[in-house]
Amino acid sequence: MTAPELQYRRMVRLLPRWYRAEREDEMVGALLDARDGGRIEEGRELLAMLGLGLRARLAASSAPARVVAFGDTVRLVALLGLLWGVMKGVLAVGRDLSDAVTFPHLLGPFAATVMVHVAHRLWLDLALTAATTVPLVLLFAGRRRAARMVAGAVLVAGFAAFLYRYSFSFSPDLLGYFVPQWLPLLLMVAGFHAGAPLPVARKWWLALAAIAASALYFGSFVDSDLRGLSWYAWAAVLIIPAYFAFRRRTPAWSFSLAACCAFVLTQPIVLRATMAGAGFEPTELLQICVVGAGIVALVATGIIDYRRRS
Amino acid sequence: MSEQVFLILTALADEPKHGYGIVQAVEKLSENRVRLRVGTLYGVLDRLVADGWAERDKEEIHQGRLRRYYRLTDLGGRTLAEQTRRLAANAAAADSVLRARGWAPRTGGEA
Repeated sequence: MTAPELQYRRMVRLLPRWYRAEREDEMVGALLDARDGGRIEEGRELLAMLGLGLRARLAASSAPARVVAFGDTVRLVALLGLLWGVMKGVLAVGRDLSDAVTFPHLLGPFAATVMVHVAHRLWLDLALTAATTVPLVLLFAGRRRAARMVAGAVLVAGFAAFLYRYSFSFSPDLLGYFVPQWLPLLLMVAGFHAGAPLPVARKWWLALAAIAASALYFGSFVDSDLRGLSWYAWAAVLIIPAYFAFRRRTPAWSFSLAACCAFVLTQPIVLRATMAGAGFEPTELLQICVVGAGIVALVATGIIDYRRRS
Repeated sequence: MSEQVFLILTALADEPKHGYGIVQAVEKLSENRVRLRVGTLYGVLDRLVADGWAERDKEEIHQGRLRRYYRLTDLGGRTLAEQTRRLAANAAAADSVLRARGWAPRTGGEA
């Protein structure tokens, strides 16, 4: 084997094994032909191979069933995770609007000072809502490239803001809080590559509208003094049994729901754990146990359904 | 349809080609504007085959290297023809607007 062939075979190892079994000799031949023709720039070939490796690992068709199931799970986690982000953002905006209406009557002479704070919070929550809503809206509108670019830009901006704010006071707990927010954006960029199908727009538009409307209602009109870890943890408690009652289960849905429930549970637990002297109430412990058991059940069901299908 | 896909389909419309043959044909068709990387080419070929626009043809060993050829299917040919018609219609519409505004030279020997 010549040195260039060895080098290209190493490069092709960036591709998953099932893909290499089918294509390795052909691709190495094409790379060697390109080299002989003086048409190769190895750095760019390496980048292209990295991209192909990622797309092959998150394939949507013409790949082994386990690869397709993994790719579908990644795309669903991206969609559900971003919908969760929309829900959190709109709920916060609803609360801000409710405060903006209520505070002037309650606070009298101090209202002006507090309203500046409320207005600042409202703008921040609107920006955070837009950060998750815009990529979803673009994707549902069929503008895949723009959706991925916006998701990537939001991810980079979020990470830069994180580094700016926490570079001198970093602790691993922070990652437990922020990673569930970043991961859906990262998975959207990676999962919705050019070879992946776009989500069924009508169904997801409806989900987005329903989630945004209900979050705005709850945020604006429902008392937020709710026992338990968070609204979302209660939503997980309700969604898990509802999913098991639903007959058309798929492994991708089971795994992605498990991942999203884990996100939902992780954030408040991390927050609570970092608060000095704050323990868990019995209701919260019950929630953790119920959602935790639900996650285990979802993963087990996903594995069983996957084995039954393949 | 992206420019890469359009050019690869056009390259295959001529005759079945192997990977590097497609890279060369695309460069020639695009007058060296588009240079396909091997990783990019195979990603696009995967999609074309999955969509039924292209399919595998023969295989041969050339100088000890495997060459697998791909050819256009009937569906791929019809899709390419439709896209070509659409692009030609768009180009003609743009051309007539530009001529009317004097941004493109008029045909027929006018100075």
